[in-house]
Order: sequence, then C-alpha cells, then structure tokens
Amino acid sequence: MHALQLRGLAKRFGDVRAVDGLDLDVPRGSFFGLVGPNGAGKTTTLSMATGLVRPDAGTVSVLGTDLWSDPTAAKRLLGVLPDGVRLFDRLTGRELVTYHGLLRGLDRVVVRDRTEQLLAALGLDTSADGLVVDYSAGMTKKIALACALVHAPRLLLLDEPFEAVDPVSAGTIRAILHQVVDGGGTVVLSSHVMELVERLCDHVAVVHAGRVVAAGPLDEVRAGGTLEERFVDLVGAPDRMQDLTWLRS
Amino acid sequence: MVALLTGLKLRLLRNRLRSETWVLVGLVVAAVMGLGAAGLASVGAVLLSVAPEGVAATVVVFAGSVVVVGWAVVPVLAFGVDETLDPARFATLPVRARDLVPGLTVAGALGVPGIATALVALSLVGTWSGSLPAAALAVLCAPVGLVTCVLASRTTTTLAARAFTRRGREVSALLGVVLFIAVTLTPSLLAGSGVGRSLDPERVRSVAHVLAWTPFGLVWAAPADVAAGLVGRGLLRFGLALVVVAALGLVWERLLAGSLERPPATSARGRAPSRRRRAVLDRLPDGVAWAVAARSLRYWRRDPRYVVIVVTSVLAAAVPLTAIGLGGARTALVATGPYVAFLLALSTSNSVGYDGSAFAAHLLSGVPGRADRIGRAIGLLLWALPLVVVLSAAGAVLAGRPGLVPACIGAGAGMLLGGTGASALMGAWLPYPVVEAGGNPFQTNAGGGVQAILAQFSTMLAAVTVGLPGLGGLVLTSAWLPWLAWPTLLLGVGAGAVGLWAGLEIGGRAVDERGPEILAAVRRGT
Repeated sequence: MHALQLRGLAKRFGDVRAVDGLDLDVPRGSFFGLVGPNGAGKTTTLSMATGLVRPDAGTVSVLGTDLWSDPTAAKRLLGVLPDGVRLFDRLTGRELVTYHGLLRGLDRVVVRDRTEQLLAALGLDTSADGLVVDYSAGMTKKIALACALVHAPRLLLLDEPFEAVDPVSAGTIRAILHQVVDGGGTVVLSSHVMELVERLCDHVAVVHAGRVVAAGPLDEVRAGGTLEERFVDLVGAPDRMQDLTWLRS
Repeated sequence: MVALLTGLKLRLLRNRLRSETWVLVGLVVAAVMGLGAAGLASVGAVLLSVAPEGVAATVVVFAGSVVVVGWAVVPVLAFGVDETLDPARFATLPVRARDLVPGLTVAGALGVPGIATALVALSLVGTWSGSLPAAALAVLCAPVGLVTCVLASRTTTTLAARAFTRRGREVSALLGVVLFIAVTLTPSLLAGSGVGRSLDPERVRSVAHVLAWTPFGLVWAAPADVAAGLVGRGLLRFGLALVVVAALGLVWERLLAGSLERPPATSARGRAPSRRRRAVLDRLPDGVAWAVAARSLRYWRRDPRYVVIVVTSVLAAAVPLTAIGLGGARTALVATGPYVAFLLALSTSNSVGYDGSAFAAHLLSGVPGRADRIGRAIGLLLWALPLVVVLSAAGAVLAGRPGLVPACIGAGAGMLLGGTGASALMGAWLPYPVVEAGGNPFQTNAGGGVQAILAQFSTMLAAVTVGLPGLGGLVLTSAWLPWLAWPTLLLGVGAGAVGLWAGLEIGGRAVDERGPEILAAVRRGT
C-alpha cells in the first residue's frame, strides 16, 4: 500500500490545464521530493491531494483511504503545509498551534504539551505570545509547519517548506522531517531547489505541464548525472540561449 | 517620465478590468456616481453666476476648501483607495523622487475623483462668466486647484504610510469609519434635534473669509476677488496658490525621496494580547465547535474589520433612533434592540469571507461543517445575546413603555437567534471575498460585487422571515394587544431558536459538501 496514490488527477482553470492526468505513487516511509518548473502544477496537485481543490477527474488515496469519498478519515492521516494560504494570523503563535490541535479533535492537555514542544523545537518560544500577523516570512513558515505537525500525521505534504527560511531554521526543519520518516511516517515536499531535494529526499518525481514526466528512487531518476541536469533534460531548456553580450560591459 | 507613469497606471487599470469583471462593474458605478455628482455640482456652479452679490464667493470658497481637505484626509483614513502606483514599488529602481513627482501627480489625477474635481473646477469658469478677467483667471485656477488637491492627498498618504505601524494604520482606518458614520448621520441628528434650523448664514460667510486666506481656499477665492473688482488681491491670492503648489510639491518630493531610500516597514511588532483574557477563553468547554468559538471571540476583539462591525452596528441603530426619539416619536426607541440584533446577525453571514484563505485550516483539518457553523454562532451569541437583551429592555423603558419589555426582548433575541441561523446558512451557500484585515474597510465589495449584494439581500430576507413572529408580536403588543407581551417573548425566542437550529444544520451540511468551492469563492481576487 502506498502512502499517497494519485490516479488520473486533472484540473483546469478556464482554458489552462493546470494538472493534466497526473499519476503518482509515494511509497510508505519515503522522503519524497516533488520538483518542477514554475507553473508545472505542483501546488494545484498538492491542493487536490489535501482536499483544498476539488479535482475535475481522478482519485487521491491516502494510505488506502480515498480522500474525496471519505475526507474525514483521510484528512486525519494528513499533515499539510499549504503555500499561498493565510493563517488565522490574529492569533498568537501559541494560540494558532493550539487552535490547529483542537480543530483536529485532540485533547486539550495533549495539545498544550505538544504546542510547547513544537514552539521550542522550532525556536519560536520567545515570540509565541506575539500575533502571527507580525511574524517574519520565515517565522510564519515555521509556525505553519508546527500547525501541520501537532496531530502527529502519518503523511506530511509540504508545499515549499524551506522558502524564506534561514539556514539555521532550515536545519531544524530537516531534523524534524527526518524524525517523521524515521518513525515510519512519509514526507512529501515540493521545491524548486534541486540541491535541497537531492540532499534530503530518497524518492523524487519531476512534474512538467501538469504531468509526472519521471518518478522513482532518486538514483534511478538522476541516472548517473545530477538531478538538475536530468531535470533540465526532461523539462527542456530553451534550444539556444541567446548570447546577451551587452551584459559584459 | 510623465507619459511613462501615466501609461503604466492606465495599463495596470486595463489589465485589472480585463481579468475581473466585478472591478469593471465597480468602476462603472463609481464613475456614474462620481461624475453624476460632479455634473450636478457643475450645474450648481454655473447657476451661481446669477446668485446675489457675495453668495457665489462664499459658496465656492467653502465648497472648494472642503474638496481640498477631502483629498488630503480621506485617503489617509480609508487606506488603499488607490495604491496602483505605490511609491514604495519604485524603491528598487534608480529613479530620483524629483523625476517621479510630475508623473505621479498626473497619474494621481487620472481617476474618478480627479476627473470629477477637474470638471467642477472648470465649471467655475461659468460661475465667473459675468466678468471676463475673472473667468480668465478661473481657467488658470482650475488646473492649479486640481494639482493642489492631488499633491495634498499624495503628501498626506506618503506621510501616513511612513509614520504608522500596522496598529496605527488599523486604528486610523477605524477612526475613519467612525468619522464617516458621524458625518453621514449628523444631518439626521441635526434635523431631529432642531439645531440645523439655527444655522447662521453670517457665520458661514465669516468662515469662508478665513478659508479664503488658507492654502485650502486661496485658489478658489482668487477669481472671486477679480469678479468683485479687487484685481490686485485676486492676483496676490493666485500667486500664493502657486506657492502652495510648489511647497506641497517640495514636501512630497522630500517624503518620496525618504520612502525610496528606506521603504516603510511592512510589519512592526504589535502589542501582545493580555494573558488575563486568554485565561478566560481557555476555560471554554472542550470540543471542535468551542475551539472555533474561542477563535471567533478573539477575532471580534483583534481584527479591525470585526471591531468596525460592532461599532457601526450599534451606532447605526442607536443614532437615528435617538434622533427620531428626540424629535418626539419616542416609541421608535422600542426598535433599538431588534435593529441592533438584525445588523449584528447579518454581519456574520460572510464570516468565511473574512477568514479568506485561512479557512483552508478548517478544510485541511476535516472540521465537521456543523462544528464550524456552531462555533461561529457561539462566538457571536456569547456576547451579542446579552447585549441585545439589555438594549431591547432599555429601548422599551426609554420609550416610556416598560410594559413592552418582554415583547421587545422577544423580538430582539428572536431576531438575533434567527438572523444568526440565516447567516450560518447563507454564509455556506453564498460566500464572497472581502478585503483582508488591515485593508481599507470602505472597500467592502472588493471583488465581491453583485454576488455580495445578492448574498446580503437573501440573508436579510431569511433573517426577517425568521424574526417575523417576534417583530409582529411586538407591533401587535404595542399597538393593540398589551396582553401579548409575554407570549411574544416565547414566540419570538422560539421562532428564532428554530431558525438558528435549521440554519446551523443545513449550513453545516452545505459546508461539508461544498468546502473546496467555498474556499475558492472567498479566495477569488486575492
């Protein structure tokens, strides 16, 4: 059984086919990287895989449970860091994580303990009583990650988790994600930083124009080269880079 | 540079109109209203040419000064009126403030307010058509007046953007709303209390005399002087008006240079909320619905848009009713409670729209629709129900009809409960996007447009239907059947409770079924 299985997923916005018959298998216990150029459909795919956007066609299966026919059961297994979505930012950091825990139906005492631990682990304990609206971009990412983790999900779907995060915090987040995978959980993250995906992930899928053009264990996908080379091969760089001679003044 | 910036502004506007139909509708409505008002004002201005000696000068100077002050003040209070060409966006480009000033001024005049002001300013030529030199000077004064307006508004907004933190901006926006209501309600208050009748024309004239020597009135008073034969004084005023424009231009350039070098901070550390209040909220019962309720209660205090709702609801009901009451019809005060209940209940109909994309948290967590609806209702009712009961009782007592207290509470509480139910239902069926927190609260329908109006109208209809037993009972009790007071309490609250239950149930089911569609609806345009 796969942690996440997408079959024939499709979504169009007006005339644009954002996702066009996308298939993806994420093995259990894998650290899975989703890469693709801007506008490839990564965010739309993750939105459909987490219940935020209803697909025009296709199925989403989370650890064997169909997300769109049994959302309650499937969502219980999912932890999500969405991109381009606001938080309830008039709450303080501590209140926000607590709120997400309570929304998941957790016991208040459990929520309190986990919130304090997450805030400390992510280095947010000193700003926990400030409103999230006043946080920096990196702090906002970290508090959103804490919200995604508070109910101990079996499958984590993270859209650009390292964007705007400083190197020290990025190290902390990597350590936390490795803990999730070591504990038998599965992590899927999207990014367009190839080096990061290469360093972190053991599986990778390349998305282009709304489809998966290559997927599998990292070494298979990069086939001897670097992920970046393979990525450019698959996605296709412009045929001939024009020489911008005037740049060398 | 002028052509470049004007072109940029027009292109930005065109692209927005192309992608968002509702913006186009909004622009057309604004243009019709703004230009319509300007047309009326222009006709008035031309008619002033046949007004008695001195009247035209007084009216023109007074109205002109109000326009300049309006340009300077309104954009500060109502943030986000037009940030198409936000100076901060030029911060990364190697342009000097001096080169930007003329272009941004012309671009600032391009818009409904600018065109309307230009129209009225030009129509002043008609006002002074009796004297050729005065009319000629008025032709020169029109562009000077318009530039004064635009520069005044740019200077104050740039200043405010630099001076205020997020909290400061929110407070000023809130003040703006209160001021706006005060201004719109003043006529009814004055009329009600009879103060307006004693307004002295002599006093208005002396105020206009003073204004004519201030930067607000100089440019408008100059042609009036010439028309009155005081050519020297008129030219002096015109010269001073040019000095004002130059001074404003210089001040704005300095400020602009400042914001180009150090763009204003987008966020500043706000004050942390007090621990005592949080302790109270931590004592609410367990459960997802109560978690939603606690979050909703915090938002009623911390989100400026919610604070605006409370202030406007209470003021909008209390002020006109008080005015009517002062005017002699004291019985009208009986309506205070039900009216406030109506406004508060309706204001929550688009609470998901207020969440915006943050609603995704509920969707991702698989929050049951029923818990979502119930939580939001509790967040309102917990404080609004006591408030409405007190206002209803107070209204009846102040109206001199203490016998109506039970019927009043029945109508008020029934309206609040039933209206909350109607809102819970319509909020799930017809959600629409609103301005984000910290945005301009006057722009309620940014992107919402017609759908927002449809949603509000149907919610109103549903709320009134459910509140009808209580309201009808109140009317019957007060007019004919005093013994109906207590039955009305039961009937009103009963009908409201049924409406609330139905709204929460059906609305909850709709949230379950349409979650992703609701999220898409409130994210539109952001």
